[in-house]
Amino acid sequence: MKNYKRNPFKTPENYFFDLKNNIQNIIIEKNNFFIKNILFKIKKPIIATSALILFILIFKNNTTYTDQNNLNNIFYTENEIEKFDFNNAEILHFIDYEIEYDLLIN
Amino acid sequence: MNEVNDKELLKMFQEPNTRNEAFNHIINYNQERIYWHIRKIVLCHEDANDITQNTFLLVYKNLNKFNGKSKIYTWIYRIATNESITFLKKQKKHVFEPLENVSSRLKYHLQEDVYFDGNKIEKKLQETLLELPIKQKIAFNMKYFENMKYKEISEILGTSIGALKANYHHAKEKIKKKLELD
Repeated sequence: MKNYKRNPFKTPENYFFDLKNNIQNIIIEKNNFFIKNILFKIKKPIIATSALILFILIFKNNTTYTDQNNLNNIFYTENEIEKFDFNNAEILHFIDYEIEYDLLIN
Repeated sequence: MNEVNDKELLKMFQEPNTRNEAFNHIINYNQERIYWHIRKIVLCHEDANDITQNTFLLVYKNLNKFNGKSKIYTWIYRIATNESITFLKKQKKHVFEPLENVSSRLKYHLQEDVYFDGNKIEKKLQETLLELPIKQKIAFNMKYFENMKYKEISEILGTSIGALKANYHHAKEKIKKKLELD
C-alpha cells in the first residue's frame, strides 16, 4: 500500500497545553466536590438520626391511651385526650414512629 | 517509559505529597499519543477532547488499583480504546442500530470538519477506514499510523497476535481495493 501516513487531523492552537490544565482543573474540582459530597452524606444521616431521637424523646414523655370503645388501634397522648370531644372525633393514628393524620369529621 | 520508571511513578502517585507530580508526568508523557489514538477512532476533535479528558480522569481515579501486570501506558491505551468504543456505541440512535450507521454519520462530519486537513486521497482513506469493523479499524490505526508492535496491540485490544495479523492483512486489502477503484 502506498504511504498515507501523514496525519491529516489538526487541533486548535496550544491544545495540548490547555488539555493538561483542563484535566488538572477537573481533578481539583472533583476532589472538592468529593469532600463536599462526603460531608453532605455524613450530615444527612446525622441530622435525620438527631431528629428521630428528638422526636422519640418528645413523644416518649407523653402517656398513651387506647380507646377501646368505638375505635381500634388508636392512641392518644395525654394532652390530646383532654382536648378531644369523642362525639366529634378527630382521630390520630400513630404507627411506629411515623404519624399519619386521618381527619374524620362526624 | 521503562518498567523501573513505572514503579517509581506508582510509588510517587501513592504518596499524597507527590501524587500530582506523578500524574503530571503521566499526562505529559501520554496525552498526545492518547489523544491521537482516540481522535483517529472518533474523528471529531471535540469528541476526542472529551474522551481524552475522561480517560485521564479514569486513570487518576484508578491508578491506585493498577496491578502493574502491564505497562502504565498500555493500561491507559486500553482505557482510551474502551472509552472510544463506548462513545461510538452511545452514538447509536437506538439499541439495535448497527455501528455502521454511526460510521456514516462520522463520514458526514469528516467532510464538514474544520480540523481535518486531508487531501482527497487522505479523506478517502479515512472514509474507507470507517467502513471497517471497529476493532479492525482500531488495530489498523495502531499498526499503520501509530507503528505499534503486534504484541502491544494484542495487550491493549485483548486479541491474539495471529488474529491481529490476519485482521491487519484483510484491512489493508480492503483499503487498497477501495482506493484503487476510486
